[in-house]
Amino acid sequence: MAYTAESVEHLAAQFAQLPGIGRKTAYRLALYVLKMDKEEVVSLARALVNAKEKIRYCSVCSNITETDPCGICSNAKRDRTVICVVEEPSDVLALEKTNEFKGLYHVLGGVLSPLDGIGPEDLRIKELLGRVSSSSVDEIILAMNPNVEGEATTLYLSKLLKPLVGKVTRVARGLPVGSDLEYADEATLSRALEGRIAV
Amino acid sequence: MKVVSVEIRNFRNHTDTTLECGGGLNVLVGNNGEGKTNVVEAISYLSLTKSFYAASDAVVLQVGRDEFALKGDFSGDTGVRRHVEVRYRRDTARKTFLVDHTAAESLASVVGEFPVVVLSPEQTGITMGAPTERRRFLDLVIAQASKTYLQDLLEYRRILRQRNKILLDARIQRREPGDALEPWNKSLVETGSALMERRAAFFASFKDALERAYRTLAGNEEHPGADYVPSFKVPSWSDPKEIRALFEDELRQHEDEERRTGATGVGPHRDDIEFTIGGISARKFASQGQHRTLLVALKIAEFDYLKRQKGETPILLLDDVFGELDGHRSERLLEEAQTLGQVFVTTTDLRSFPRGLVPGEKTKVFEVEGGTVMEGVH
Ligand SMILES: Nc1ncnc2c1ncn2[C@@H]1O[C@H](COP(=O)(O)OP(=O)(O)O)[C@@H](O)[C@H]1O
Ligand SMILES: [Mg+2]
Ligand SMILES: [Zn+2]
Repeated sequence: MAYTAESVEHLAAQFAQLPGIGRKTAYRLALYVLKMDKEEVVSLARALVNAKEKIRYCSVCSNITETDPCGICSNAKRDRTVICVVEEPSDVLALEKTNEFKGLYHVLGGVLSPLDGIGPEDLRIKELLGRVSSSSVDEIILAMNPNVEGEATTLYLSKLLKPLVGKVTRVARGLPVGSDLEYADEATLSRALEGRIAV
Repeated sequence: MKVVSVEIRNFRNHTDTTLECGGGLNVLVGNNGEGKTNVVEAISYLSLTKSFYAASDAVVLQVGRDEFALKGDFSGDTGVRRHVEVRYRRDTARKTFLVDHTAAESLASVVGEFPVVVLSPEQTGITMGAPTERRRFLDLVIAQASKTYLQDLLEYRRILRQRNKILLDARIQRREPGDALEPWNKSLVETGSALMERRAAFFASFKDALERAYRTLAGNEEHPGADYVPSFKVPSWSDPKEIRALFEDELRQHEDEERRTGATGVGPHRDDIEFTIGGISARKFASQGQHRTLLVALKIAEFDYLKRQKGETPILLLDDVFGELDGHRSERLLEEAQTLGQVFVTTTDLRSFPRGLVPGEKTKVFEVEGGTVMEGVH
């Protein structure tokens, strides 16, 4: 690809940094951008910057939001006695789509994984314990992804939370092993939520 | 299960090889280094999703190529046609499997679909070598028989690596691992115990098969044995709670050692098998001849076990085994193999083949030369 212009190389390299985008796709995207109208390109660039500038993390649940606290945390209709703990904002999105869960969330920002250098202090666990002790929470639902790291995080959290909360549950293991909450279909997720079990 | 045809592209020294296989005995004949083992390796790769010889996929990719592809058409015992193919690319270092023309969701989902039993000189380590080789044998058999086992095995390895990282970090930084270990201990014990239970159950049914196979081959009254030697003593396998309690206790007893070494000291990754002949340790006392007979018997027993567990006849791959066995034992093996199902055999010289092998109706002979394969003897 030595004959392409430097700016195209640069753009492709930027695309290639995104998750799930290989070199080939990155070039396809870069070349596609060249074919777009200038206004379209400008609007795409603005949308990127805009999202980055406006989006922040909710100071209560750490979900991504434009307002702080986020729409879920500030919604008076949500059940404040139940908190569902998830790994990432994308998990909140997936669970919200089921229309099944009416409580609040807590986004950990990852899972325990010593191999990636992630220990308890790198997750928003202190914040979770703070929420639990400062408000009346009856149930915590642990909804980690069904894999080795999710399991360890569930075990770790349940030990910390049990003395503090009346009921600590986890979503049913109905999710196929190795699959992410993010990619599970809505019916499967609903079933997993319904069939939660005490830990 | 039978291989009906295989296509091999840019894999080892085969650039573009197609084999229309026979349903019985398939003999691959050629000089050393021509590519016989590579054909056997390709068939087993489709079945096990990796090479049993090479450590990495990059090694089997033909030198100077960017991609290799293997395709296999299979036919189940009931006549059901199955298709499997794999593609590996150098640039992404990724391989993708298609089973019946649909992308496989994981490599683990492919293992066991096309059962094979491989016998090659490399495997003498099972009876003579280090415990790792025996565990590899064990895992490969049970994983082909049970997807749950393979799933647990992969999870266990991941848990082990995570747990060892905590121990190692703590050792390097000269501090106590503290409560960071706790959730991993629980996972280790749970998944590890499940593996051990499955292994124990395997031996219970494998022993008889081994004894039968050994007697057929050796034709004498020597009794072979295969005993499961877990990393800690388990008096009874009947109570799951008890096994887990023992495991937890062992972990506690290994605490000091683990802090010194920075590695998990107990668990199924430290299991072993003790093979015996006439009640005496084979690894320590068996003769070369006994070792060979034992290995072949193990493979026939493995075949038996897989066939019973899966209700599907495995494909038998015998690579370079006749140089290793004496005439009498070779003949027995070939006679036995031909009654079992589809067999692939490699040899440098058809004439050195046991008398029993007169290429018959159900026998196909392939000449392998410089990475090409031709049917018939030329
Ligand atoms: N990645 C590779 N690319 C090209 N050739 C290879 C590769 N790996 C092995 N070979 C060649 O394959 C040949 C060995 O084939 P093999 O099947 O082991 O022979 P044999 O017929 O003795 O069983 C050697 O000539 C070796 O150079
Ligand atoms: Mg060879
Ligand atoms: Zn919030």
